[in-house]
Formats: sequence, structure tokens, C-alpha cells
Amino acid sequence: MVEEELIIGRNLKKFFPIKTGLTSRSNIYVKAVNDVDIVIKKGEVVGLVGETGCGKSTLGRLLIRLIEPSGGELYFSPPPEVLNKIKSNQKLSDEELKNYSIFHMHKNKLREMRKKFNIVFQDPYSSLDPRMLIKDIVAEPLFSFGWKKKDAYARVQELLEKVGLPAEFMYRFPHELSGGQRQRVAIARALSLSPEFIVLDEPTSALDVSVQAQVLNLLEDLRKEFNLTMLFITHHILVVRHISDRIMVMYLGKIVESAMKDEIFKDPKHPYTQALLSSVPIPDPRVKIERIILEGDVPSPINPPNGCFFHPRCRHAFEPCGFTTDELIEPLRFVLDNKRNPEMGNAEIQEMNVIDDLNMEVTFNNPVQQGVVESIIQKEKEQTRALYGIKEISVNGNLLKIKMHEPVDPKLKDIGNEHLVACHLVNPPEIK
Amino acid sequence: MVEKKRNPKLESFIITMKIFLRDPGAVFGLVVVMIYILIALIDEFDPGLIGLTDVNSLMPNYYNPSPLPPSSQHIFGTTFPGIDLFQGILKAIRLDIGITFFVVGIGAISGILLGLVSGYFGKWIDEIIMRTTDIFFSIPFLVLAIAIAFFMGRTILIISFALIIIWWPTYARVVRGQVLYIKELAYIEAARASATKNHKIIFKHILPNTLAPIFVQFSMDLASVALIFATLSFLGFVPTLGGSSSASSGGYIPELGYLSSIGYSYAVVGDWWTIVFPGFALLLFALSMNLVGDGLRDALDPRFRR
Amino acid sequence: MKLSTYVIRRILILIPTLIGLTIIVFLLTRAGGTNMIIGPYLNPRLSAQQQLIEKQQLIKQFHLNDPVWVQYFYYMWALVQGNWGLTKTAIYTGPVTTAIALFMPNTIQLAIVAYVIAMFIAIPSGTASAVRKNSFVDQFTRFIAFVGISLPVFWLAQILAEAFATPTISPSLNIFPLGGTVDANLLVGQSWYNQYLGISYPTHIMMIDALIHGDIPVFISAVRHVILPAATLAFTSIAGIMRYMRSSMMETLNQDYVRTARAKGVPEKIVIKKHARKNALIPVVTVSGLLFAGLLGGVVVIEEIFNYPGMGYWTYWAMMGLDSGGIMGSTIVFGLILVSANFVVDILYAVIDPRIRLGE
Repeated sequence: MVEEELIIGRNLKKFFPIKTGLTSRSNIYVKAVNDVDIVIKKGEVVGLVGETGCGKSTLGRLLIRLIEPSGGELYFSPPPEVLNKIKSNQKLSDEELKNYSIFHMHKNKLREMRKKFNIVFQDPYSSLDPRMLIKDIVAEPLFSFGWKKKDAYARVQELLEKVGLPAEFMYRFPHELSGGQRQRVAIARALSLSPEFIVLDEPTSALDVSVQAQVLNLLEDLRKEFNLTMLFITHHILVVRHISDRIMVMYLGKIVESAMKDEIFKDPKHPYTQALLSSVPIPDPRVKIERIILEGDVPSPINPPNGCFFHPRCRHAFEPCGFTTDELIEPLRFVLDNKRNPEMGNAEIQEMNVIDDLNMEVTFNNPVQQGVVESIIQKEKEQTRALYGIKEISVNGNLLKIKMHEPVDPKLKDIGNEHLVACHLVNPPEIK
Repeated sequence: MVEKKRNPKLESFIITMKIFLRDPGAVFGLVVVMIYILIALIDEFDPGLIGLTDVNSLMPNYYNPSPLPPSSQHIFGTTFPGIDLFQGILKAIRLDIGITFFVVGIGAISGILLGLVSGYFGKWIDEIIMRTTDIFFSIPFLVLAIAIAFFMGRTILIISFALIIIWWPTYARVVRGQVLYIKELAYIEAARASATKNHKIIFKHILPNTLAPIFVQFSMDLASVALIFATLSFLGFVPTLGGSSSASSGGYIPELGYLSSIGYSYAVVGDWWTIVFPGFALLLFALSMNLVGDGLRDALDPRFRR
Repeated sequence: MKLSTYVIRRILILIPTLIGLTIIVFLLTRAGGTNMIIGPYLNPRLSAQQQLIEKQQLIKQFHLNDPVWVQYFYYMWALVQGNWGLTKTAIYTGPVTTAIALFMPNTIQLAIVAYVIAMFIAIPSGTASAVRKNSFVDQFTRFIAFVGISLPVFWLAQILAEAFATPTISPSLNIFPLGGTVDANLLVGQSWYNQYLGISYPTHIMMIDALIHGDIPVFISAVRHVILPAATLAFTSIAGIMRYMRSSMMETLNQDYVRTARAKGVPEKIVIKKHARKNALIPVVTVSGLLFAGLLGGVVVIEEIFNYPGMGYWTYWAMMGLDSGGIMGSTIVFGLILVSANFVVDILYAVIDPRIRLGE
């Protein structure tokens, strides 16, 4: 495989504003894609995996600029000198941005670029115009670029054959087709201009299981035939196991892990990936895997957690992962209870006062001993991981002051073998 | 190429017609509307065919002005001054139908265009257009029509203009709502991914998919506009016809609402036919148009087609 | 979104609507030309020479030589101050505001009676056709609804007037007299009635005032006068309310709590009356107000035919007498009624259904 970058995305962002107040302006956003770097190589099939609402579809749409970005740069097959500049993080001139960044391109140039990429949507029922014939649906991209009717329809016939549909389907309406057939039509449309890159946004999840396999096989065949580069978005990691070369895992608008397929299945590094994989059944009775059940809900992308977004649900979260005082209130009430830990004596929590994200005060009805509290925290840490976030405590009579560790955002780092992980467990930061 | 070429568009039309024809009310309505249109066309092009002479005048007969009851000579009777009601109604249909189709047609076209723009582009354009429709919706139809016609004049053009001004916002709103819904569907996104230009997306994808509710609205509005137009005439906004001054037609312009209004003072003393027939002719048209609209609603509803 | 935020937003939208309403009316008066604006103020007894001078003065007084937007500013200022101009019609001459105070109560009375009649017919028939879908009752009400929206209002009014108020056709049916709001003879010498202005006190609404003073004959006479125009007005809105009630009722009947009630073995009658109809009524009552306000324009025709001295009657005579003040005044009043109905309905709806607030 040629190791040539086809798509390079830097700091991709897409924030959706939410209307709340009186004015239509608002400063509350759903951070669907939150500062994502992504590289897709030529001829590669990348599986993008994540739970519903993690921003994977938004990222897919950003990569072909189907929605307007909130920030970042996106390059499609840039020439070597520009590529070098991007790789070495040099600033590009305005001229270069205009010429090569999909996000800065002039409308007409972007239009030309659209020949090179396309998309297949999840729902084959709403992705085909119910009032158009199949031939016109498939030919739509061709007509956009000025193909003559005769040539276009000849091409449509050829494409239908490629996706395994009989030619007489040209004269059908979408409602006369089954779900699988419709999805084949959508694939034919995406392929019509022989693009280099295709985004597949959960193309099989609306289909019956038996049909899913057929469509996956078709995609596999087409990929070989046309040497396509594909981004396969799915919420189900098994779907992409077969077809993809590399797998990226997304959580709350960020990519948390990216590695070659075998690597990720064999040796997942990020606790979230581990949890995802543990839910996958393996058809081998000898393999015993411990099922990891994620606790709690996915946090709101409007107000994601501090530090590592995954830390509230993580079984391994520790000091730098970004615990805040809010997360400490419940655990403290739980562990500093003299019924659970009699060494607390007759001290009971009277009041908890959150000063900011990193500082809080707890008032007891009776004086407490610093050593006692420290030992309880030490003892309970493994069970109640939020206690890891405590940096230091100081006791003054009835008053307990707590200071938290500074959160550190995990960066996506290469740990060798093209395996990228954003987790402090793998790349531990210095704990101050 | 393909051996057997089907014509799916024709097939789809046939299905629509089949569903429509299943509804007896709709069929009745369609037949009546067709007859009205036919009468209007005959009036316009060859009035002699049904024994009419001057379609621009109600032909008063001052020798025998008081209303006569229905007889073999005047099957609907006569109204003041000696006007044969049957002939009068036949002539009046031309003006009523003509104006109605004209007003709803122009109103629908402008409303559809504005609604498409408003829904598709959104933002401030949408805000302006929708606030404008709010303003027009803030005055009852009839009152606004009266005010416009009162201040701007009573020519047929001004009265049509008044009705168009009242009618476009309805379409703008209906279409905008549809566009907002369709715009979010994946096939529009697919079209944009295929570099389809905005105007093509609007006219090839969005407009055809909004047409079903527009057709329904259109047929129902033909009824309402006919009623309001007649009501304006009844109230005294008798439009002057181009070409024939009110003097040459004796001030008696063939229009159903007007025909009804001149009979009123005779009806209250017992000459019931002077108001019953013109009003009934109007009711029949409006009812038929509404029935057609209702039938269309069913026939164009995708739930009935699968 | 909080309800208070929604209300404030809705009020903010109200402002441009009200400004737009006045702009429309303003532009229309200006489109009519100078003579239409100053017409009512000219003294016809003056000589042509004097009239010319007076005309110049009036043009100055109304700032008609200023740019249009300046004129609009003066116009708005006058409106806000309550200076709505003069009306000169066959039935009343004087300030527009006084005319409104004179005619409006009668129209309110008419509207209340009509609304009650409409609801009394539309709610049960809408419920019945929802409960027995596609039955004869359903088909029949559907047909009536169609006739309702297809009927020329003026024609229905004429037919009713002819049938019930014409001595020659049906002496026995002549129970609903034409003209006025009450038999004036009954009011001679009544202290709560101003014979000259034709106003009753304290509410100016005849039926209510008669009840307040315990005068049953006057009340009955008032009802007899209002019933025909009210029935006509009611008929125009029955179709809409009925169809709305039907769909609302059908939706409610499909709700889980109604099914639960049925499953529990609650008798069908009680299910419909207690569980379904109550809930189905809420949106219908709110929306029917708006529907009704939109059709209120019909009073121009109805009041004219029945000679009922309300806003519509005044509008009609203003129209006949080329009286721009009357047309302008009544257009604004009808507009205000519809705008406020719209506002109230929106707020009520937001209270009932919080989803609306999120949708905005």
C-alpha cells in the first residue's frame, strides 16, 4: 500500500449553537466535533466507531464539507511541499490555504473538488428523492458536472451493474425498491463520478442483518475494484472488523484511539476501547473476556467533563484525569460517614462548600483529624475513583479544605506502530 | 439499452387518479368544476353557443323591471330590472371563475417562491418574510380586502391585487413549513454532496415534494377567493369592466355576489328566487372546489400509495 | 425555555406586527390621495375659494407635504394619543374613537353569542364524529362542515333574514326582528339607556345591562335581535372548530391513559366524557378563539344585512360614504382584535404544551 496521505484534518471543530435566551445569539454549544486531528491514507478503509451522539456522523460530514466547520483546516491530497509544511506544523500562507484547504476554498473550486468525494447515508429511505426515477437519482452528480443525458444514463446503467442491480431498475421509483436495493442505488450515486474518497455513514445499520452482509461484501468488492479510500462510520465495531484497515474510536467529539485493525482488537489501550471491545461476542468458547460495563450515561456534549472526557466513567481514572470538586460531593458524603468508617468518630458532615472546580471546603459538626481523613481517602480510593483527584487536604478544627489536582487534557499520541492513544495511562503526564 | 421502457410517471399519475376517483364527493366536485370552467370558456370565446349576447352586461329590461317568478320563459325567474337570472348567472360565472383562478394563481406563485426562499435560506430572509406574513395575517381577510379596495380604487385589477395581497402569505407559510421539513432529509444532503446547485435543489428536489399540500391548498383557496370576491361585490365593490363602461352596461355587471345584492330588497318582500339562485350557483362552485381539494388530499397522501 | 422568556419573546414579535399593521393602514390611507384624508374635515358650505384655502391649511395640518416616513411618524403619534380622526357616515358623524366606543359593544355582544352557539354545536358534533368514525354521524357532520366553508356568508344571512324576519313569507316565523339591538319602545324612559346615543349603561352591552337592571323583556328583545346575525356568524366558524375537535378527540382517544381507562373497565360513556373530551377540549378552546377572530371580518356583511349597529355596520356605511376615517379606524380595531387573539392563544398554548416553547 502506498503510504500517501489523502486527507489531513487539523483541529477540526463543529459546534452547534443552542437557542436558550431571548436573543437568537447564544454562547451555549453542542461540541459535536471538538478539536480533532485526523489523517486518512490513500486506499485505506478507516472504521470510525463510537456511541450514538459522539459526533462521528458530524465528523464524516465535515470531512467532505457537507456542513460548515466551526474551525480547523482540512486538506485533500495536498502537493508534497504543502504536505511537508502541514506535517511540520508550519503556518501556511493565505494563498496556500485558499488553494488547498477545503475549508478556505472558493465556492467554485470546492464544487470541482466534490467530484473527488461523496457520501452514503444511513437511511436509504430518506436519502433518495421519492419523486425521482432511479436513473435520475444516480445521474445527479453527473448532471451537476455537465454530463450529457445519453452519456450519463449509459454510465448509470454501468454503475447499476457494478452494484448488482438489473438495468431495468433505472425506470423505477425508490418506493418500488427494498432497503438493500435502495442502499445499492445510494452507493451507485456516490460512485458515479469515480471519487477517490467516500464517507459511509452507517450504511448498513438501517438494513436487515442478512442484507447487511451483502452490502458489506459489495463495498469490499468495490473498494478493491476502484482502489477507494473510505471512512466507514458505525456504532458497532464488529461491522467494520472485516472491511477496515484502521479503526478510530470516538468519544464525545474527540478521537480517543486509532490503530490498525489487528492491533486494536489485540491490544486496545484506551479504557473506552476496551469497554467497547469487551461487549463484542467472540465465537470461541476458549476465549474468556471480562465484560466491562460502563457506568453512568454519556455526559452532555454541551458541557463536557474536565480533562479527559471519559474519566467519570473510567475504571482506571487517576490524578490528572480531571476530577472536579462537583464530582467529589457524593463520594465524600459516602466515605466520610461515621457509619461506614467508624474512625470518623462522632464527626458528621454539616456543609459542603464548592469554591471552584479545584477547591472546596467541608464543615463538620465536630473536629476531625487530618490523619484519619487521609487514611480513609487512601483506603477508599480504589473503590471510589473520584478520590484520586484529591491533591492535598488540610484540616483546621471542624473545617476540611480540599485541593484537587490540575486537570490535564490527554493528547492523541503515537505509541509506535501507528497506534495513537489519548489516555494518561499510556502517556502519563508529570503529576505536579 | 433497456428492452421494456415503462413510464413510471404516467403510472404514478394513474394511481393518483384511481384513488381520487374512488371518492364520490371528489368526482362530483370535479364534474361541477369542469362544467363551470366550460361555461366560463364559452362565455369568453363563443357566448352565442349558449344563447348569450353581451357577456359584459346583465341586459336590463326597463319595460318589465319588477322580478318575475321562475317560468318556462325564465327558468330561474328575473330580478330587478328585468334581468333574466339564468342568463345572468351563466354570464357571471365567467368573471367569478376568471378572477378566482387569476388571483389564486398569482398569489400561489408568489407565495410559493417566497416560501421556498424563506425556508431554504433561513436566517434574516426568513425572518423578514415571516414577519411580513404575520402582518398580513393580523387583519381579517375581508376587512383588509375592503380597506385595500376602498383606498386604491374599484377597478378589476385593484380588487384582484387586493385579493392577491391577502392570499400569498398563506402559500408562503405552507411552503416554508414543507421546505423546513424536506430540507433536513438526507436526499437534500446527498444532492449537496453531489455539488448540485442551490436553484436546482430548490426546484428539482424541494418544490416537487411540496406540491401535494400546495395543490390541496390551491383548490380550497379557489373556493375561498370566489366567496370573498363575491362578498366584495355584494358589499358594493362592483368591479368596473375594462372596455364596457358602467354606462353601457347600465351599471349591471354580471357577477354572482352583485346579482344577489340587487335581489335582496325584493327577497325580503317575498321574491325568494332573486337571491336563492345566484347564491346557490356560488355555493355549488365553492362546495365542489372544496370537495376536489379534499379528494386531492387523500389521493396525494403518500400513506395511501404504498 | 422558561415560560416567562417565551412570553417576552412573543411580545417582542408582537411589536413589529403592530407596527406593520399601522404601516399597512397608513400606506393605504396615503394611497387613496389627499382628498380622501382631508375630505371629512372640509366644510361643504364654504365657497370654492374658501375651500381651497381650507384645503391648504388641512394639508399643512396633516403634514401631507412632508416625506412619507415623517408623515407616518405624525400619524403614529396621533394614533397613540387617541386622535384617530373624524368619521362622516350616514349613521354617525364624529370622532372615530367615539364611533368605536359606540359600535364596538354591540359587536362584542354579537361575537359572544355567536361563539357560544358555535361551540355548542361544534363540540358535541365533533366529539360524536370522532367517537363514531366513518359512521353516518361522521359523514353528515363532514358534509355540514364542507357546506359551512363553502357557503357565501351574505347569502346565508339573506336566506335567514328572508325566512325568519319577513312578514310576507312566514308571519308565524317572524320572531327575530331585523334592525337594531333591541326594541327601542321598551326602553323609553329607562334611566340606564341613552336614547340619543343608543347606549345602555354601565357595560354598553345591551344583554348584560338588561340583566343587571333585571329587565327581562328588554333582555328577551335583545336576544331576539342578536340571534340571527349571531347564528350566521357562528355557522362560518362551526366547520373549522368541528373538524379541529374531531382530530383532537381522535388523538386523545388513542392516548395510553384512555386505553388504560378502557382496560380498567370504565364505561365507554365516562371514558369519553371524563377522560377524553376534557383533554381534547383544551387545544380546541384555545385555537377556536383564533379561528373565530379571523372570521370576525364577516360581521361587515352580516351586520349590514341584519341592520345590526356594530363595527361591521359602521364599516359598511363608511365604505358607502367614502369615509376614510371609518375604514381606517375599523381596520385597525379588527387588526388589534386578531393580533391579541393570536397572542393570547400562543401563550395559552405554550402553557398547555411546553414542547411549543422548545420549538421556538
